[in-house]
Amino acid sequence: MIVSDQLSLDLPADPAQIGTARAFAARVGGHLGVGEETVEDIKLAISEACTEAIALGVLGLHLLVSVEPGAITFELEGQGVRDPLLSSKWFAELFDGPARLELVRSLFPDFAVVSEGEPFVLRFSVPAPATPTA
Amino acid sequence: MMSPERALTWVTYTSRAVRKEVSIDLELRTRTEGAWTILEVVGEVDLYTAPALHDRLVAMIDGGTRSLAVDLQGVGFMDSSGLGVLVGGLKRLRENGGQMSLVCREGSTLKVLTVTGLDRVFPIHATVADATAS
Repeated sequence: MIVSDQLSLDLPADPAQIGTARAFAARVGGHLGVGEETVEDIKLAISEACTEAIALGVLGLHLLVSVEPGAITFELEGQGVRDPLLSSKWFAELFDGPARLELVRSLFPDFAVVSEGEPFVLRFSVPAPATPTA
Repeated sequence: MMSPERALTWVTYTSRAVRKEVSIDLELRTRTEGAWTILEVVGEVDLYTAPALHDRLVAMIDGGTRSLAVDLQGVGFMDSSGLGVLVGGLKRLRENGGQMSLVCREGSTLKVLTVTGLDRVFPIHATVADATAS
């Protein structure tokens, strides 16, 4: 039985690293017994959160997964700030930030931007799978 | 109970494993079927890979493609970065009197299209044959 634990991953804020963040979150979710469909939703949420943080120009990504009785919380912290990517040539064709975050909120109702400053922090949670009792 | 020490060891291992196994590639293959051009997309579409899809779509449309079916059956993951590129492509095609269909039968890609309401914007077909027959 897992009472309380935290798992984390630090990555540079590089678009090439978003897949690594997704894979980490998916593996943690799968390891903790989260259902396959929810794992796919988690991957999408993490990808959108990383995209938002990178678009805002953070330097590093800190992904923290907190495991507690009843819930698994995913928190992405964007650390440091440089020039935002929002003005880049093709970025204007992407979903804008509010639409991107609304997409995640439709999957995880408790999804929230915890801090909009520095650090930039996004958080959402999923119910922890029930642990079989002996 | 998973101790913090053990969790830390596991995370370190996982991070290495994830870094080793994650290699996000996007393959874009083009072929012609009658009046239609088929763009087959294979891989994961996110902030890192979406520019390649964007550039290919723009090149195809600028090169004269007017009836385009984007085959997403080989896409294992797509977030709003990919959606934005597809919407941009649709807009560019329509401005040039063209049409664009998506081929997507199931999975997380179809779900994200549905959640965002884009299944009402794009004609979505289960097979390439259905798309090119429309």
